[in-house]
Amino acid sequence: MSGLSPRTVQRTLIACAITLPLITGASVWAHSGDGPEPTGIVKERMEAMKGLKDALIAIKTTLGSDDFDQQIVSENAKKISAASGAPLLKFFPQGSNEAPSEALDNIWTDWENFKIKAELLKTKADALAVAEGKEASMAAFGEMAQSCGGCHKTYRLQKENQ
Amino acid sequence: MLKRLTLVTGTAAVLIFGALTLAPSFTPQQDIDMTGLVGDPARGGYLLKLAGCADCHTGEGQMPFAGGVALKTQFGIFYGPNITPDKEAGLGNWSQADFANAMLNGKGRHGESLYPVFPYTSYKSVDRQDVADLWAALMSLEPSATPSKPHDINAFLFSRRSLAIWQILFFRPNEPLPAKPQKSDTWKRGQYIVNGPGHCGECHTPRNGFGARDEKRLLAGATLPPKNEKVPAISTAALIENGWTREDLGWALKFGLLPDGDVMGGSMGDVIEGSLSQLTDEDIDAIVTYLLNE
Repeated sequence: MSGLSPRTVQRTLIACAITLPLITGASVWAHSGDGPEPTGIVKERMEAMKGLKDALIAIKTTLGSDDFDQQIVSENAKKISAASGAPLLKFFPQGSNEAPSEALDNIWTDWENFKIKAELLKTKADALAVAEGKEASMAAFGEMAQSCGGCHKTYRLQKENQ
Repeated sequence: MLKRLTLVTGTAAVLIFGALTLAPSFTPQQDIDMTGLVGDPARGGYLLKLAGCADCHTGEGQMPFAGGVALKTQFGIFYGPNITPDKEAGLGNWSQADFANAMLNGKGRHGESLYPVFPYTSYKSVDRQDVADLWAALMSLEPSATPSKPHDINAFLFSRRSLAIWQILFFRPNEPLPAKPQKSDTWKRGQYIVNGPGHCGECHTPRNGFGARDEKRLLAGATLPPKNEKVPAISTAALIENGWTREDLGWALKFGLLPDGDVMGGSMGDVIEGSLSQLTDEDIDAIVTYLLNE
């Protein structure tokens, strides 16, 4: 320590105080994926979409299984129905497409059509909820999935590799 | 050095100009023998869906197959033509053999070379009976008098003459698919759908600067103009590397459902809605079998 003057030590500490948060911050940024973390309504919307995805997977799993369970189809179709139509529209307040949102501006310029599509998902999910048998459920699931895709085609940013 | 470069460039320019000027714009037709083939419109209706014909030939608000869909490419905008049986605006004056010549040889009714935006680079391998069925289905449609829109492209660079040269360089007409006798019938059906009428390789195979498919990298993924849309690789190696199972791939093709529960949008969303969702389970199974090389 004898070789270091108090001034040098002070400068080193200041340098560390400035650079350390920068390095740590950069590292956190690097680990956070492609962009900023979602916040507010965008975050809520992404979580709601995750709920829909989980319901779709549950239905797919039982439809693809030899041990088909109508109850699982019905319960998850009801979940999708409850989350679509008006409740789905609440997740899309005007202009809520800041990063990392994938929502396109035409949602709000074409709001009436967007509303129709949100309602269509509800109608299709309701039909799936009351479908009877594996074959009928599969057909109703196909129609419901098509309504998901119909909206994604028009109102969602083109995803890479889709 | 500069002189040499000028000489090489000049020679190339003269050769290209000469080729564009002197090349025959109407190359002789290799007639397709359709003798005795009678099409089944119902079967053809299924094939129209399988080949996704409406995606390019049914414009918004138009009658089915009355044309008008804009296809934006790096070479300009092409408009899918009217292919209804109307004698003026559609294919009403064509014969079944003319249609076969377009599908398998990439030639128009008068022998002119067609733009490869009409995917004859895949359709060249379509079975002749399927061509007859498609023709029967088209001729059973209601005629539409809506005229086809002219393409919005550079008329000199993309003239029928330059197209004839393009075809000589990059297209082998009426070419059958590679025979794989050891493979199952299901695999062969999948090979046929993917590389023939389904024309999957038109988007999933990368292209060179002349817009020709790089056949050595079949289904290796590509970037589509004008929005630089990334189209994924669907070669067997890529699908296996990305963890695709037989079941997941079937659900993705039939319903657009991805393994994480997301439902596809984008261009593939159109393909699923207009084509794949309407195929039989057997055909989806065949596509999966071929793509995973099982």
